[in-house]
Amino acid sequence: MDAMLEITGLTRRFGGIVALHNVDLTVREGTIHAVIGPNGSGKTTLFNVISGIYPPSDGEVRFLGRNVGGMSPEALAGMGLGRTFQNTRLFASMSVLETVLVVLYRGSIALTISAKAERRAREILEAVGLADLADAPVTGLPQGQRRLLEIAKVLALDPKLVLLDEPHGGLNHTETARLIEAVRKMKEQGITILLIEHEMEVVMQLADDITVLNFGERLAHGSPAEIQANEAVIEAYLGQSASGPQAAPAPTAKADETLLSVRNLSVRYGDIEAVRGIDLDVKNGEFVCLLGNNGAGKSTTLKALARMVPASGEISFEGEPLLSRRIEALVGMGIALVPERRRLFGGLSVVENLRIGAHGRSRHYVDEVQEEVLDLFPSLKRLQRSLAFSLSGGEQQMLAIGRALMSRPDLLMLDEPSLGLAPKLVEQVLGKLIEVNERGTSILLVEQNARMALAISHRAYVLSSGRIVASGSSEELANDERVRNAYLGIAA
Amino acid sequence: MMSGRRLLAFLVASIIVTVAIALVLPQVLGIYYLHVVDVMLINVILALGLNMVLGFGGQISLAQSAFFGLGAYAFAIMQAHGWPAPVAAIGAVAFSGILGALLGWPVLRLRGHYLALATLAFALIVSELMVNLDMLTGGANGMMQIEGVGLAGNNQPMLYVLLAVTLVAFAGSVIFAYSPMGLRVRAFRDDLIAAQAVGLNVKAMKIGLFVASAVYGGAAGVCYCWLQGYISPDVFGWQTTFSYLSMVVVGGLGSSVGAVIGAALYTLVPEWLRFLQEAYFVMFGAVVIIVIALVPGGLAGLGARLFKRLTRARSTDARSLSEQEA
Repeated sequence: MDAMLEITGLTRRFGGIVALHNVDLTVREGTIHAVIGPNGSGKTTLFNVISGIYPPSDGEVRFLGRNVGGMSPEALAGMGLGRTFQNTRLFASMSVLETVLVVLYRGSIALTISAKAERRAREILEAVGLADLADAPVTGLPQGQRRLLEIAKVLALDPKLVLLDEPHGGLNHTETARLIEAVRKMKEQGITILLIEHEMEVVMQLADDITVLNFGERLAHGSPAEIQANEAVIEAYLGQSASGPQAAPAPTAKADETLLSVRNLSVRYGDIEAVRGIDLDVKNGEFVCLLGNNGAGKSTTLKALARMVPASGEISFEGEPLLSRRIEALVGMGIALVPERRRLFGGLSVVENLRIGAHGRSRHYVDEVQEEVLDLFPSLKRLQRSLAFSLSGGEQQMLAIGRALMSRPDLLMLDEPSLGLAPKLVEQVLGKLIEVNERGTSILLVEQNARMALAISHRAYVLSSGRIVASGSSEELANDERVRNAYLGIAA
Repeated sequence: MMSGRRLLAFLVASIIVTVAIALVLPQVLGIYYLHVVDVMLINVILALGLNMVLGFGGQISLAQSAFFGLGAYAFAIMQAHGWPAPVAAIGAVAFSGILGALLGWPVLRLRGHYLALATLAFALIVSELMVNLDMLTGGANGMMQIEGVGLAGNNQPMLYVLLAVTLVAFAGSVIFAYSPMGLRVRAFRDDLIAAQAVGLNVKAMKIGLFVASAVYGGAAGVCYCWLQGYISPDVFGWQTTFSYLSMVVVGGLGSSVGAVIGAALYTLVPEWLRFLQEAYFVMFGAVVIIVIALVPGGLAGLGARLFKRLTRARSTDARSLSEQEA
């Protein structure tokens, strides 16, 4: 079989940082090739170089036998190279159908959209399972459907090679199954696929070949079976200890005092009731998590508590009503939020990001808490002067948590801190939360990774379709069928 | 997305409205107000052109006053050199369009504030040249006795000419927005990298948008010559570029109807506020600030939202009824 893509000695530097060093990779025509590696290992940079967003600093990229290093993304797309983005990039003003149409009409000078093109667009949507949503605007779509639409967009290019950047991140089981089917179908049509993926199960199911990156270099390559047996890979990717982080110790003394109390909370987005009549408590010193699959209403609940979306119902914090408070007032009351996707100030350094978290306090206070936080996160201490955007995903997440802790909150709320992190890093991040909790901060954690979250928390609520379907101690819930059902989409 | 049939209906409606205006206005308006309406139509063409690059394409341009001037001077000079009016008109619009491409090319890599400054610099250069190239432009005095199409100062027949040009400009803008090309430009505006990743030629699009706005600006310049019969550089001064910017923003970025509404209000409101004399600019400035601050999407966006709310209210009623029945 011929090589569809041949990369030799590829190096990419950003200033003094070497994101990729001397990487070799060959993708055989008609195969599915996976690139795996811990966070920050250079996978996405590799994709950005292949797809023309960054030129290579050194080395060669050959696509269809031609040296394409330094070519523009649109020229590469014209040659039949399609890609998806890890944080989906859709056209915000368009409907689902328009998103596909614009790709079909990428080079045409036609004045109107033909019925034939529209049929073709609907076929493509059918293939990824979005046919029903053709007329929906893309802005309201949940993450799972956004990812499927990314794939539809690429299919409309009629590509020879497709780069999929973590297509599976944030999908529920049904959506994952649909995605795997879509990828298989693409392969059957003769499309070659290069895939970045964290979920090892998905990789092992799909990939013909695997390349492992670590710290910007190629650590290993081979068949799935070879990679699974490779000691170096296991250590780098999965972490040395097979056991998860330790469970949080039981909450101490003041545990009876209710810190946060939520009654009958509802949130509407236009016609959709995202959260319906939720009751929830967090006691002093408790570590509580909010579980459920994508679209269950977890993040919405958290956003309602953080006053970021309008909600109805009753919320009280330390006995004070919260719904009438302004969003800026929450920090002063002792609530801190670590938002989804971290929302760091990319152009500021680690220390500057932290200090902003305590903006307005005395210099003495800020210095003192900064020291505390850096002690808690030794990896941030090393990177103090680095700009936030140059950090890897795991480090950024640590920084986001650190920034939230700068206000010495009584309650720390986190929205999916594990999103997009390799398993080893998820362990590290969640492990830190136990430390934070031990120091007396109550935690409300929204998390999709139920197994991990239940292992470290005291109590949990399980959401499904905007309602609480189960609640109790984490220990009990870990073996509760209702949790699994909520995740698999099985009706109770 | 507008279906082909709805587009057609919309265009037919625009023609009917235009004809109605042509029939009614001369009956009800005096000679002075007919002139105001003529000026308004020229502003509409300018706003439609700016909306192409700024509204559809999301690329800030402060060069609209320059293209307006380039079109006007090019026409006046060509005609003065003995070119027949239609040829000079086409030549002037083409000249403006070519300069649009020449501006679009070097600013390809610029965005946001940098693009704003670069295009403002272009407007400054053009406005300086108009004053200082006396040999060609007549300097600060401008150019007198431009023959045009022989209708200068004749407000009623000019109304028909300008309505026709404006209608073509408006239809062009609406058809563009509806076409696959308009869809591509939206992709470019929404997410540059994603647009490149699906093979859209973003460079050609950006240059094309500048050419389109320049062509509209040039056409407005030609119309201005026809209407007034004389031109002077202050009309096209770089300061005036901000008028067109406020027309488009107040009317609603990315909406052809919005550009029309914005230009119309910008021209007519000063007439209504004339009794305020000096205080007029304060009032007008306040109105602009209020619209920008309180009405995202401009007046066209406000209209669209009201319409949506009305239709949605009806559909929710229907649903709650059926729920009760169930």
